[in-house]
Amino acid sequence: MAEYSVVGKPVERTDGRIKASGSAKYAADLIAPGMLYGKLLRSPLAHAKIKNIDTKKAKALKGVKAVITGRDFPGVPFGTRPDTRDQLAMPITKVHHFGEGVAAVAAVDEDTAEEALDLIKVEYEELPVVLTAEDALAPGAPLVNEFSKSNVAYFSDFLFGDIETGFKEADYIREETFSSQRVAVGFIEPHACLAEVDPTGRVLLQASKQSPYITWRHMCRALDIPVSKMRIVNPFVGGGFSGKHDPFDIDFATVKLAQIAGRPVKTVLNYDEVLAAYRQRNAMNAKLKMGLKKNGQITALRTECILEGGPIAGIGPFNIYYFGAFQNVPYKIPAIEYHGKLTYSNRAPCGTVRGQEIVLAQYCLDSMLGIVAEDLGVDQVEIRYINSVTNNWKAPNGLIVDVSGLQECVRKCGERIGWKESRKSRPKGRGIGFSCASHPSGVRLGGHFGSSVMLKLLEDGNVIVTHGGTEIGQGANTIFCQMTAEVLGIPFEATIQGASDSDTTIFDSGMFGDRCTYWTGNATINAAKDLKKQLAEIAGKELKVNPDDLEFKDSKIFKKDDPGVGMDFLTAVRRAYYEKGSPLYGKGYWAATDIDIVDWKTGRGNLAHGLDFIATGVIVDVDRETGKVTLIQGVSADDAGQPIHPVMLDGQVNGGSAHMTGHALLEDSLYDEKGRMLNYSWRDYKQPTAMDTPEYIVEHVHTHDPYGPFGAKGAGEASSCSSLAAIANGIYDAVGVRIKDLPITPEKILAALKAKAGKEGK
Amino acid sequence: MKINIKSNFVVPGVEEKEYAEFNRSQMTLREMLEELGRLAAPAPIEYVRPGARVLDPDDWEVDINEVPYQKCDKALDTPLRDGDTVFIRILSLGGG
Repeated sequence: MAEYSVVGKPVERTDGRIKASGSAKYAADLIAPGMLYGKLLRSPLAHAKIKNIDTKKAKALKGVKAVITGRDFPGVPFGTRPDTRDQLAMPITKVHHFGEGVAAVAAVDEDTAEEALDLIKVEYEELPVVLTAEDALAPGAPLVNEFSKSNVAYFSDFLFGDIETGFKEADYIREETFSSQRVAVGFIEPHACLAEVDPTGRVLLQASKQSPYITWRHMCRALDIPVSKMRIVNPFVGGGFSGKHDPFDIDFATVKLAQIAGRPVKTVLNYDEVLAAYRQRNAMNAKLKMGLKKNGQITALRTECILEGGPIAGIGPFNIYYFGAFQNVPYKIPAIEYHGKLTYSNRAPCGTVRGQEIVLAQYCLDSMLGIVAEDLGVDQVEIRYINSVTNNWKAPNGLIVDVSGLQECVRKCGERIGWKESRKSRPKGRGIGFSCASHPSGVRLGGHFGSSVMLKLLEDGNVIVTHGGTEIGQGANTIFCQMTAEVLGIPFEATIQGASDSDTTIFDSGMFGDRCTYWTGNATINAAKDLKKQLAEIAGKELKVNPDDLEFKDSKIFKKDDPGVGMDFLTAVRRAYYEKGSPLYGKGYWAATDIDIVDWKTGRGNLAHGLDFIATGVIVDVDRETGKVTLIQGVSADDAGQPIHPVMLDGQVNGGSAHMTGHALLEDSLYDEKGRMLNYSWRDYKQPTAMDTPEYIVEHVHTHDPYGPFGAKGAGEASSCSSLAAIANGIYDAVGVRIKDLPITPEKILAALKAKAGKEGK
Repeated sequence: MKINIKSNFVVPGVEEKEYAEFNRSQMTLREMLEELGRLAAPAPIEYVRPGARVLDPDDWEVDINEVPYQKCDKALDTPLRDGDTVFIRILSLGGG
């Protein structure tokens, strides 16, 4: 294992003190001279034709500076793929879900803006609603999206390996169905933005965005302006978890209001609006058929999955793709048949949530594994161990596992949670559940998908690190500063995080899929090496040493085999600036060009490097009288390669687990029969708090990824993928009832216990 | 004429086969893409924006017989021959 000075050390986060002291400026904190306040008028109906919007009275109200509707935009649709462009900036002919923004106002203060909303009269013609995938696929179902002639927004059919032989060779075959509810994303900071337009008409948008590049491109398309006519700057962002990639009605409306009013406009949503009308995780219905040998070795898997995704395709094609293509890990399954379908509906638009739909796929797969292990009499740890992928495993779709510590993760998790001991003795109502998972460190999408980093070395020896990733709370800024300091041999404190600004930053394609550490990390190393080379040439000339023979360490540059021949790092910097007038910029970029571009049609190919692995065990207590589930302890053994910042890595692993606790046990976006959301406030929508989460323990399984920065892999999403099934399996182990439709509520447990007792004649 | 269609996505209109047949003896790449788009009816795909001289590089990458179309003599207006292979790669903007 390599010894590092900064990498692998729990340095202080670059944003830690600023955030903890409350002085960080988020989008809602921004102020511009002459700024107006924006508000959106929302549809009370889930599906209706817009017959007319009368804004005259609102426009006439004193203090109102602009009022807009969907008709103020060019009507150019946008979407994740050129064949799924089914969204408009704001609706023109119909509304698609409860809470959709139909008009917006900019006024001198928030009260006036609110008052103006009340003066806008919208004439609707109500349409029948589509609430579920079943509704959407029913013959004669009303069509949800005006850009599509079907309620099937997307589909995939994949076949990997010889499925017939796989089932023929099985000693045991079982089929099961699973379902999952819609859940909110769960970031802390609601959507907010400030838009300004300069005298040339160029737009500046400062917004709470997870993937500013995606927002930028989609917005420019829908506004019908070139990307050079918009500048996008990211202030501090209070979490993303996949809920802040796209531009929303708030972003479009705020820009349009600023364009019309000729003054800056800020719009800040409240959380009720976010819960009612913005991105959620898809509802899922899945059917699995698994074949196994007597010893628990999987021989074949057939999966059907239907996701209900709201009125737009959005990133749904990715959700369908990930669900199917990544069933090739974490287990060695020689044959997989997959059929996935995404349907439109009149509920809030879906994106995804941390872990993407690998979370749902793994919930199904590992719940199934829990079921069949018991059927076959195979130990729960053993069945996961024998099926775990290993180094250089080539999955049937062509995905190559470069390095896998999964078997070690399974072993460590089982030991640490006390699995064997628990089989001898445990309190009544207590159980342990397991699940594994794997998540890629970014896939190759085609188009703009690389990462780039720019370093500016100041004359005082400090380095400004400007990277294309986005700090959304995960610690990206800190680890790129760590990597820069490590390569240049300077203290972490000599690095400064640069701004995230499209005028000075080459944005990454987006912050998703565990790609940031891996891709932007490699770009950071390359940028630091570029800077190092420039300094080595300056120092080498003065020291009369071949630049390749120089070492950078402890803020000094010296001859490798003769440390006495050297100079201070700062001296080399001063030589560049003072004597040569030479600017010191380091430029680095990286893209995994040796992996295959996503093949949407087949799901085949070597799809990713840096597969990180996790084995999660959860101890649960279930009260048979009330059905209440208490999580006692969660243990995750995690292979994220070389930890760059071990404390933040723990936080990522535990955060993913805690996040999914709500999905497993508490959360559910509820709608009435007309598609109106019922529980869009924190009072009614139950997300877990610290009181709901158990003690978490992380065991790192330290591997070295051959392509990762310093051997690191991505992290943070695998634990969310392994948590749902671990909890479901734990509940079964505790009280012997299997709840296959999430969330696992006390009511469902009590009903299942009652049914079980009835069957057993108790 | 028959054009072999390769792609990294399910091409609407030719879902079950790897070629498209057109009822004409000669056509350019542009014409072929326009007709292919119409095969996706009732939800046609716009491969080429009306009047565009090039494909939107944010949307599609297209090769003719393994040569990027931009490198062919007449780019979008390159004549196709019966049996030619057109590779259409869809590009996406987003992720989870």
